[in-house]
Amino acid sequence: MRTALATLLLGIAVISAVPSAKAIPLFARKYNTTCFTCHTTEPLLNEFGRRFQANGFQLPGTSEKFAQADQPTAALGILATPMVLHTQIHDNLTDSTSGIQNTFSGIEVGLFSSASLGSHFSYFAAVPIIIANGSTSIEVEAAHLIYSDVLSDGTGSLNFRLGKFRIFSGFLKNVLLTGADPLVDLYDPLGGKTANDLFVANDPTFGVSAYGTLYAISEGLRWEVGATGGTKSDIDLNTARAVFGSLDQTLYLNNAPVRFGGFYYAGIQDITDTTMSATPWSNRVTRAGVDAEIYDPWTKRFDFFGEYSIGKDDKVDTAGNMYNMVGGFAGVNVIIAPEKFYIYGRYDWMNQKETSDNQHQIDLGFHYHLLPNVVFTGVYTMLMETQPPQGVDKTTTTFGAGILFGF
Amino acid sequence: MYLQSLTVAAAVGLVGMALSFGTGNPSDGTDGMMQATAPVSREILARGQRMFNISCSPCHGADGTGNGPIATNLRSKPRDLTRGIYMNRSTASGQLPTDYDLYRTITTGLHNTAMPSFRQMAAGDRWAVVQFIKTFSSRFTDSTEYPLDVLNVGAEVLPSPMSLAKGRTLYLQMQCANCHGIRGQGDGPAAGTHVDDFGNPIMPTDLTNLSNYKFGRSNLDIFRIFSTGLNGTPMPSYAQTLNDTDRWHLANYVWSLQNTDQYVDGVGADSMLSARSSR
Repeated sequence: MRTALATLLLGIAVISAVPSAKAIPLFARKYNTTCFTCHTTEPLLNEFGRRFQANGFQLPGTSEKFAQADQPTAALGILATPMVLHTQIHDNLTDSTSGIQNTFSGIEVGLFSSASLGSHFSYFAAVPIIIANGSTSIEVEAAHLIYSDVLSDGTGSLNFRLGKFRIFSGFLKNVLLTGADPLVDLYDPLGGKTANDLFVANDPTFGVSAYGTLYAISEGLRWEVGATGGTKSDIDLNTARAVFGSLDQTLYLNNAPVRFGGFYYAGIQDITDTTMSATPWSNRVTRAGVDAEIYDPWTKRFDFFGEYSIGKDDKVDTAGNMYNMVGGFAGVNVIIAPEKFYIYGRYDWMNQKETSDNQHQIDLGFHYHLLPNVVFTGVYTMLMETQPPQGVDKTTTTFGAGILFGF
Repeated sequence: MYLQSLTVAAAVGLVGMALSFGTGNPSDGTDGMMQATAPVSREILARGQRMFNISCSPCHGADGTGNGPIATNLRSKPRDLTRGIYMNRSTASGQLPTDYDLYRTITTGLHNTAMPSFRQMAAGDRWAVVQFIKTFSSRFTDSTEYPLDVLNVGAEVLPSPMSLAKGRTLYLQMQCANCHGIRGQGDGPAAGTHVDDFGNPIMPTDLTNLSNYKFGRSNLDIFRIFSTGLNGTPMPSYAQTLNDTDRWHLANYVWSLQNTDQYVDGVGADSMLSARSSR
């Protein structure tokens, strides 16, 4: 713990000593602009950033050809997030503190790259490198090709992508400031017990999709339809197939965005679990939900958002048991000082009906920009889990602090 | 030289506009005076509006007031296009910008601000956006605003030790240090007291920091700002108070600050300060 704190303090000292540093990450470097063109604060995308993302990581209204001589074609970015965590787990049934952990999360270094490969063609790739507990892991989290602005009308109304990507990345993933993933996105009926686990909405998937934004409909109707052949991080085309789609309408109310939309995923997965059965069985996976986001139209400093979703798995084991889940989240991001200081809060809940497994989670935190690309972060998370028949009643609280570097 | 390059650039732009729109040359430049642009077609305005709504409205707002969805979070606020007040121009202080001025800003962006370069947007779309932007302000259709007095840079003075020394003297004489500081670091006595015409707090540019030059950092770009001023800000035009040659000296000196003030005469700002205090 002392080493971790020393590392953190050293990092702050180094950053404080170079206040004139002007390192500019990834796309800001490529487009000669600042981080805040697209981000309220990293990773929260603003209205312009969402349009940039929806246009195949190109400026909205543009369709890139080969870059100009003075504009680098490829952009490479690095995001590093060392965190110091204090976690306390309390078992409420035994009325005892089950464990207190003071840990250094290690350093997660995310490498990002994007480039124009020619007229309409580009790619995006993200490779996180996690250095923790004496070991290093590297994973290709996302890597896909993009054929943008198919209609060549400069609006990005029709684009294609092929490769590994998050299927619902178009909307609510962009508003989540906290590092804690939504409970409904982490929902995993089998709890990671099988060799090829069930569908987890949060993980990038290999697939192909058509998507775009129709700006003729108010301030833009974003749409996406696609097919995927993989679950989690594996390209297991032989064991899963699914279709998915989403719609997201944006309106402006006094120049403040109001968004609402929905998503649907339906797939079949062939599951192998030799501890339960020698032969695979098939599970039909369905996820659906609605979401909304509203900026306050007066100050535009409060960004309220929420999602309600359901999940159904018709055969999670050899006995043919069905699992149903309902859940969602609601929260707010607040701009305290532009380009400087932000706070956020979010409440999550999830209920697994068959097992009566209930989870509730509260996230509170802040982002303070020491520099445009160096952010001091703090987070408090409390996860409450109850499962009456089995007697699980546990509360996990975590305090964390760290620095997010972007280069 | 600058006039030549400006003329060539403007000519290229106007040819581009003509090619893109299929219309004739909308301006008539004679002796640096530019007339009002000709009316543009509905199709071009519709094209410009469509691209504006996609690319520009997140910052400038669909109504052009500069109060778009992300404006709250930006310290350097997006331009209120309804006022017709623009900083980045080649025209005399207080005047409207030329079409090419607007086109250049869209194309190059404004360095170290949230305004990116839209050079990848189709040229015809950029020209259409220029025409649509002009519909936000009635100044552009007011005949009394024309003709525009487009900058004539005169004979360029190349940087030299003598020019830089002269520029340094002018920098102090013209009270530039009052805002920009004696070292040019944007920390003069008046720094922090300014607001622009839109009520937004603004800071003097740190002239020693390359990143702070929004409108280009060559001595030509700096000369242009000394000549036109920055409308809507406390930065005045020196076209009436300094002749062309002196403005070049001043521009050359400020240009040298981007690197080191040792270019001046071998005496740094610290030495100058100590010499002044010892008098």
